[in-house]
Amino acid sequence: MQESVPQIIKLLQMPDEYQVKFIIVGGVCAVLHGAPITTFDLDIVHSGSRDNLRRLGDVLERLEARYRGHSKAIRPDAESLASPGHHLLTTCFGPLDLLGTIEKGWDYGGLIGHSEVIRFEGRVFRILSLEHLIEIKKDSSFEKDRVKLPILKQTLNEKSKNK
Amino acid sequence: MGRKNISEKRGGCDGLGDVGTKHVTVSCETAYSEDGVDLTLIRWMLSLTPEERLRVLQDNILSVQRLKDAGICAADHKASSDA
Repeated sequence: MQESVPQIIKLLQMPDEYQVKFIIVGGVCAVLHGAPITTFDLDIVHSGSRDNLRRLGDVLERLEARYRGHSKAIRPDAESLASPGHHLLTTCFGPLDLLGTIEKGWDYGGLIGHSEVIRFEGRVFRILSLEHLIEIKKDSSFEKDRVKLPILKQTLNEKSKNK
Repeated sequence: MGRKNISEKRGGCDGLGDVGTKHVTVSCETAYSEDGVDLTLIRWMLSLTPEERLRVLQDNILSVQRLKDAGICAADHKASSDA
């Protein structure tokens, strides 16, 4: 499979088409909240239920997903997707990170109460709330995450003024 | 001090910035937060719908890719010229 320019919108539509339960986190989540940042991948936390993993597996097959950074094409399987780990994949629409859990072990079930629903292109998507995204970035052990904190905090501040 | 530099750079206060397809009134007093974040960009992004925000992201990705490709072409051209 040839590496292609990330197509975030197409990448987002696919799991939704298959009714996969997931929450958008990371950079795309920040952009959807109005943060002026750029990212090149889509980060999602998926539900680990058996049905969801089966649907997710179907999507990944359609997306020709395989692990990034391997010379051999290694495809994710349902068993590994059920783990709390991170699956850094490349797809025909660009990089896709499937995250079993994020900082401090937050999984889909834990995050759903900190998420909100947005609608675009006639579809409904669930994204992490900006407040919780900020909390999670604060806890991040990665400098690259903490570097975006001032922008996220100011975005929240400006959003609050508009309410 | 920072505010003075910002004011000079922006060439005056309370201008009307043409940002994409929407107009945003920009006040130099509040153009930047105390920690240096450009609030005008945030306000512009907040004026867009989620779909429009994603399109901005997608356009940014394409622009970076074009620059990257241009760099590769330039490097290839230089290599073939040097050979």
